[in-house]
Amino acid sequence: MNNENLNPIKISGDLSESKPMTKKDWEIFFENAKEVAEIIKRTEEIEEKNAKR
Amino acid sequence: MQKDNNFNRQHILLDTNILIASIKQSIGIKVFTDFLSENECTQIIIDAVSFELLGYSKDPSEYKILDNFLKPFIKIPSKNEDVNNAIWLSVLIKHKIPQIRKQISYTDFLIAAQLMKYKKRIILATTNWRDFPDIIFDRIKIMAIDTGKEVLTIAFIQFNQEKYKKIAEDFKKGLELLENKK
Repeated sequence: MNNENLNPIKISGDLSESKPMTKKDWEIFFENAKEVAEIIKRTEEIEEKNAKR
Repeated sequence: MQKDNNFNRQHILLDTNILIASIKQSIGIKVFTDFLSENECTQIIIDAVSFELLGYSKDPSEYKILDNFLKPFIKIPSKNEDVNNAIWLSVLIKHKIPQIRKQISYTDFLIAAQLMKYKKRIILATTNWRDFPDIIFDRIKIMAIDTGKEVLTIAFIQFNQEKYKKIAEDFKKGLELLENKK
């Protein structure tokens, strides 16, 4: 397996592919954001602890 | 929130700070997202914003959650020309406003390079409006959002070709004078 296959990141967007998000889409976004907020909080707490050391 | 003809079906480039604000303060920020929906705006981010957000993950499960979270956004890659423009804009802006030198990040300049490339086709949404000074950019709309904890100021910013042209030409004249002195 080459390095490209090991890397899941794909940054290859184009403006023409973008679609408007409806209010319903944003509701789903905010629902997903709760888990993301927890991840950010945990990471920032670790960074804060490391900075104090 | 009323419809705004300047925003109808426009591409909105979201800065990292807007995504973070959306994640942390979902109640207040709905004023902003409702505005985007009502004007049928599309949401895009640049590669560097994806880099900053995915950088919060500490294991595969967190990576999966963050990656899934970013799925609705088109991710624009920085090409060679964008990197060149980011550095060029940083030189121009820092020459005009020396005190700004340490304030603006490389990510901000990569965003600025996309605004330069797409001109009127893209509007940036950011809470760090100071990082996009009005010597080159226009603040076309300001939205104040009361999140309960604080009042968040979101600026909508576009590249101004005329302002850029004047600053770039002045700088090039300075370079030419130096060459002529040799």
